Amino acid sequence: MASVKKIKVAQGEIKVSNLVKTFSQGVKRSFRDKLAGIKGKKTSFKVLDDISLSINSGEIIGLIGRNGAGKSTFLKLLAGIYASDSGHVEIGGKVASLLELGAGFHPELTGRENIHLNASLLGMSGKDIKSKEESIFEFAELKNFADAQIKTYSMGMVLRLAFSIAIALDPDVFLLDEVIGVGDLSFQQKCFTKLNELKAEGKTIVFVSHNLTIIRYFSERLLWLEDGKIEGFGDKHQILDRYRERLAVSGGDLTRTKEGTQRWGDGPIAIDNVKFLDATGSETHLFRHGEPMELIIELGSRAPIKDSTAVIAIQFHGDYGQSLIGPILHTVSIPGDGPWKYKYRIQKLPFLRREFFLSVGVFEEGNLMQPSDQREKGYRFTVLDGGERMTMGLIDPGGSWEGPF
Amino acid sequence: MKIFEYAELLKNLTLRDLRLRYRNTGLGFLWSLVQPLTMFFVYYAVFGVLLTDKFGMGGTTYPFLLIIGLFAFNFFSGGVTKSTPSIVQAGGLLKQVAFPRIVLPLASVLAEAVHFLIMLVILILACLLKWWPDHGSILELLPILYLPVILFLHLMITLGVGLLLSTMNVFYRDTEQLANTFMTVLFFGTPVLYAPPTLEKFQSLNFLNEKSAEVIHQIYYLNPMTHVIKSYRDVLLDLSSPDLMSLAMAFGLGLLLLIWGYCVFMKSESRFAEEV
Repeated sequence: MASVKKIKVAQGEIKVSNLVKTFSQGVKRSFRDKLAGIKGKKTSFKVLDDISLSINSGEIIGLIGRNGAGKSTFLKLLAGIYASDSGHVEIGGKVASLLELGAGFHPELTGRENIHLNASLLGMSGKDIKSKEESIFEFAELKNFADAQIKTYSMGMVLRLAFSIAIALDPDVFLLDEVIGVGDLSFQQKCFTKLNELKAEGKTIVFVSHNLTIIRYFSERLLWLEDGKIEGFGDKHQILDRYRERLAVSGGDLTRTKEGTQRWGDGPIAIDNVKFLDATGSETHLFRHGEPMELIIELGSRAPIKDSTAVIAIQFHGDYGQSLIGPILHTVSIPGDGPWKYKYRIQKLPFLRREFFLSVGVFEEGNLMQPSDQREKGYRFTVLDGGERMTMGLIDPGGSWEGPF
Repeated sequence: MKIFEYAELLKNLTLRDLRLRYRNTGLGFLWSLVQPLTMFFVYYAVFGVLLTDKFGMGGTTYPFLLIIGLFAFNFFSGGVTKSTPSIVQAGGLLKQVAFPRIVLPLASVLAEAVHFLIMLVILILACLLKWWPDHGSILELLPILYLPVILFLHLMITLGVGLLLSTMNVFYRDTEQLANTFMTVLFFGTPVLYAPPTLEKFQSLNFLNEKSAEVIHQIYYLNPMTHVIKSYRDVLLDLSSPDLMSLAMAFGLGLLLLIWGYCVFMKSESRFAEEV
């Protein structure tokens, strides 16, 4: 905390100069090692390497980069949780960090008690908490649960409460790590409205998200970290395009959903693999609007089956997981004992510049209630450019205009 | 000091400790009385009734001497053993929120202090009970006003050791085990079950020669808790002003511990988030 100097900068401004942070692994932790003189293998690596930048008051900065790029460490240094090895962080005004929702919540305490504990942890005074208590419950839609123990809350309720406390703070600089976009759709909408209000009030916000839609929607400038160094800092469109391209090239990262793939069903037919092919027939996760896309679905058998039929279901989701198209059901025959390959071809991809998820399920004929194997949002692809400049949203239906007539 | 901005947090953390300890129990807060009182009766049965007359045990004043020693030591050992793991236990929290880490061991000690205040009420009642049968003027009770001073010294010592050990525990997890074991040893090495022994007492032990008896006597009185318990007894048992030498020793040693603990804590604070 000593290295965070809150001087010389205007309210809401952030100045970072030559920031370096190293972590060492394999730290000795017992007297015995110490007594025995065992040094332990100390390997240190630079998590952040010579970061310098300045952020103006009232800016919204989106922080992107792959896992391990140093995003969270950077936020923690800004928040004063970690001390830097060298370099300076200067922040003007009051800083609030929300790096994990519900950090410090205790399941045995009631909602009200947790509000007091959590808000004071974030630096709110007792008087402030008292006066904001009711509005926090109201925002979280938890008025009737104020005096119930948190352990009786559902996950969604806990997240709602945590987020509501955080936005009740009134900081000049707000640091958020992957906490935007929690709860159900209507609550998300409310959070976005609230964040827009903060934006309008001129608060400085630095946030990390893997959801590029949220990044694009909220931020003005983007900071892209790669291996602890600044890979790009500037206009969001320009940086996002470069970022998407990089991700697409390295592939692997994109085939998993952030929440982790949900897979269920233990029937005789299994989904072995799903591949996306582009116009040239090569595998990729990167597509352009209006180009052809081929899905190759490879099935295999878990139990002996012979000459049967199955139903394959595919469904496309947007980047919040909302259903866009489908489920599209198709009955196929499965001759012999597999493996089997099927192809679904889209002539002109209707999607616009975003990330999309694909769910694939396979059912035994006549039993559409229980999948033999299902991968919910198990596959992911990116559409790079947005087609017509004037078309917004997720899908271009490909209609045409006429008139006046 | 930043810590004052976080007074609310300190209050809430202390309340959390107190609330959580007895929540969902039948007796609730009464449990805070049951355990120390049970200890008192067990020790009284063993040392006051069965094995008397060693180091001034037994006799009519023994239960009073015992209960004062026991409760006072309980606060010290409770405060230290609860605050020692406080940083490590907060674990994930340290990585997520920036707040002055010192509130963690502070809250642990304060929660124990709240318990001790209740114990202190019992001690004062015991003191009145002993005083009543052949009491004189109410002015005889005036020395009780020394209690806040002794309590302050008591708190200083407990906090100092708590800060020191909670820091050590971040880097060496053995500290917690070590602290618990050490407390058991110290329990017998502090005049809890008996009156503080004089040099002659040590010399009368036939397995000690003259020289070693003196050294052990000196080490014995370097324990600040010896002086704290002695002062409580001066006030509550004898209704006299506490021995100034004892107060000075407790203050000196307590201040030393507190400054040492505070400096060690503050020096390492910025590394806690990475180490836990």
